Amino acid sequence: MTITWNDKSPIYLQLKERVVGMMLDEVIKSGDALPSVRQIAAEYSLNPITVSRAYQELVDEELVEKRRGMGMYVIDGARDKLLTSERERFIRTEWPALLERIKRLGINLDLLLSAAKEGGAA
Amino acid sequence: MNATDKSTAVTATGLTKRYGKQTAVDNISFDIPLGRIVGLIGPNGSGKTTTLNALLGLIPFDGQLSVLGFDPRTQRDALMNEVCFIADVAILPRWLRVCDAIDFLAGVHPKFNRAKAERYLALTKLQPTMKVKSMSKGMVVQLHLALVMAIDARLLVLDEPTLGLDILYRKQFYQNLLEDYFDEQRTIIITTHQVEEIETILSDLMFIREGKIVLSTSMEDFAQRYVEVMVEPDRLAAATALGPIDQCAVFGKTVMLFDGVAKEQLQMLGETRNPGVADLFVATMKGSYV
Amino acid sequence: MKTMQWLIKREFWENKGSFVWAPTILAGAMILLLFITLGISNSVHNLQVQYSDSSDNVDSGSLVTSNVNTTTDIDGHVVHSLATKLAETLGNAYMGFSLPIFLALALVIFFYCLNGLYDERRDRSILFWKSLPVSDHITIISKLVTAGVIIPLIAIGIGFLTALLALLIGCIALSVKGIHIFGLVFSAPEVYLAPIQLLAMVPIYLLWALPTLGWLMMVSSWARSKVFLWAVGMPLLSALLLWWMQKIAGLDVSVGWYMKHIVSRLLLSVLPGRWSDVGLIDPEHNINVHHSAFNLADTLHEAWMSLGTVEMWVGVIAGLVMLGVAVYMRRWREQG
Repeated sequence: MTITWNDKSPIYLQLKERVVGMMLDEVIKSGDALPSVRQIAAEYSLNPITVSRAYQELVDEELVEKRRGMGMYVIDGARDKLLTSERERFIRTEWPALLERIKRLGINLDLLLSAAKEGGAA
Repeated sequence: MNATDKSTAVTATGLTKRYGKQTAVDNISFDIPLGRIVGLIGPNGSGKTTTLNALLGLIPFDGQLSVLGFDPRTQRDALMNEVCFIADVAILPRWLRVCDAIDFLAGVHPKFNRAKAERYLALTKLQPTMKVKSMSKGMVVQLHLALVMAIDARLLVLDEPTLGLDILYRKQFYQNLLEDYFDEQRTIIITTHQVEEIETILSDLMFIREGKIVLSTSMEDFAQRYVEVMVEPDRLAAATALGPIDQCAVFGKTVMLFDGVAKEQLQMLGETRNPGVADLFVATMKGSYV
Repeated sequence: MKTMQWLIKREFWENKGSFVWAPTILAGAMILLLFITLGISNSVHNLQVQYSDSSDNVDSGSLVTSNVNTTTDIDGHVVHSLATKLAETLGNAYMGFSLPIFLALALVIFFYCLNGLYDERRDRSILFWKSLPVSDHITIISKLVTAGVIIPLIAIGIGFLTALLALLIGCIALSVKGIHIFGLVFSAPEVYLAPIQLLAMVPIYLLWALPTLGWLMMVSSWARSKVFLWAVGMPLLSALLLWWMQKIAGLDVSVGWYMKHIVSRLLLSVLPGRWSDVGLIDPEHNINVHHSAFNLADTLHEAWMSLGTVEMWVGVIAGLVMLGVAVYMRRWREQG
């Protein structure tokens, strides 16, 4: 699979974000095994060290655990933990930035929200 | 440092090679730890092939060199049991048949695994009775790689392995290498012109220019050290004061490359990005092509 | 050694065309030529016989065949001794039929040694061979064994079969004419001894050919281009230089000796039987009774006697030294 990694952050972090995204979307569920380091390395043309680093980040954030001889497994409740931290991050950093942009463009926030509600957003 | 160091894949101390008055490799020293994938990048005539040749015991040299604990000058026979190399695309003899190649390697190489080779070949379109001369370049590389991957070598040296191949074969080459071959016990040294293609695969990087190593870093450090900034016009003076290693003008803005300056500091000067190996290569090698 | 076996197989795979197909085609062509020659002479012969018969003893009855077979009833004795003589000659000299094959294979050996190391550098396949744990000296030894043992064995094999076939055809052709020497020929020990005698010569051949094999492989390991010119040109030019020094500078050097003992040994030792040139056998001491042109027993005798000459051993040492240089060149020379 050809992924274009952006040049804003280190690749291992971008890889970690991808895995996090998959966990949020429930492509990878609790108790599932993550693909082996070798598989990911081959699929995305990465050095195994890079993949290991990404996985290590997930372990450090207690989203994933290493089971000896078996590989990396998603910890139960990881998704919930993720949702909480992602929500918090959104509210803390992304939302204010978005808000600022909306104000800068002079968009009416109320109109925007009611349109979103009508549009059937969940 | 021990002259023959088994804890590294390669240890070079004062490695020098002269051809008459010309110095191809000029007193270089470096270490390649085990289990790494190292990219040796340099322009033509920089000494990278000479370095590899010395490493593989193909040419005499001055200085110290230890490859997997062996001296390539005096212990080449023992060394060749543990090292394999692909020197160039399509150096397999034209009269060689696929089945004969497997038989030959099985008979001659103690670490060749016939079953593995056959397994790798089964994934290609190569037939046992095909001769190299009837194969396309890409197929020859497929064969060569299948044979090499079936050898349990601790060091693999690839000198421009994908030169002249089309993209499909190139991608497959590295994919096979990562999927079926590489592990912590093995070390790979690659030289290539197609830097962008392998930069994500590398764990370490060495730039060589005019016989000297001008850069030697792990890719982790690389990501930390080098930052490229598109400098806001009003911050130009401040940026210059921080000592960029290179700069150029893009769309009227100045893009500067910094080595070892904190990213946070640079983010105040403008938009930052992580440069790729190719970017750094161009910046470092400027002047080599003049 | 397993490795040696595979290395020799490699030489075979690489050179199947010149080792096997070329001599086989040559043999085939020679047999064909034999057929044609016999066919032509047969028809010519028949015409002659019929012409002469018509004027001679018509009522003898047995004259319709050939005029070699004078009369079976009258002079059976004469006929018998003629057939015996014929059988003897054929049995002794039949292997000589294959001389072109032996000469051709000498040529094959020459070019094999000349081109081997050079070609693998030129197409860069040497980098493949050097990526394997097979040392340079083992490689050179395998090429030496191929040149000095394997190819001669192939030559003997094909040569013997061809000569045998020619002998068979000859006997059949004579039978058709009424001269039945089949039994005589194939009960002659010389017929069966011949291939064995040839095999017995192989070790001597190898030793004698060493200077040429060594010289050619050394040049092959070293020349950057135009290997043939270097290999052949250098000795000839040096001889020319000597001749010039003799003629112009008046130096007391024997160009003839140089040509015979240096140049010829360097370039022509691959030709079979060259040891005979050294003049080992004194005709008076010749123990062999038969004096036909192609005498295997003589050649074999001379071959083994040559082991006692300085000539032979100087050549062997020179050859080994040159092979050593070839090993050194292959080991250390810049292949890129």
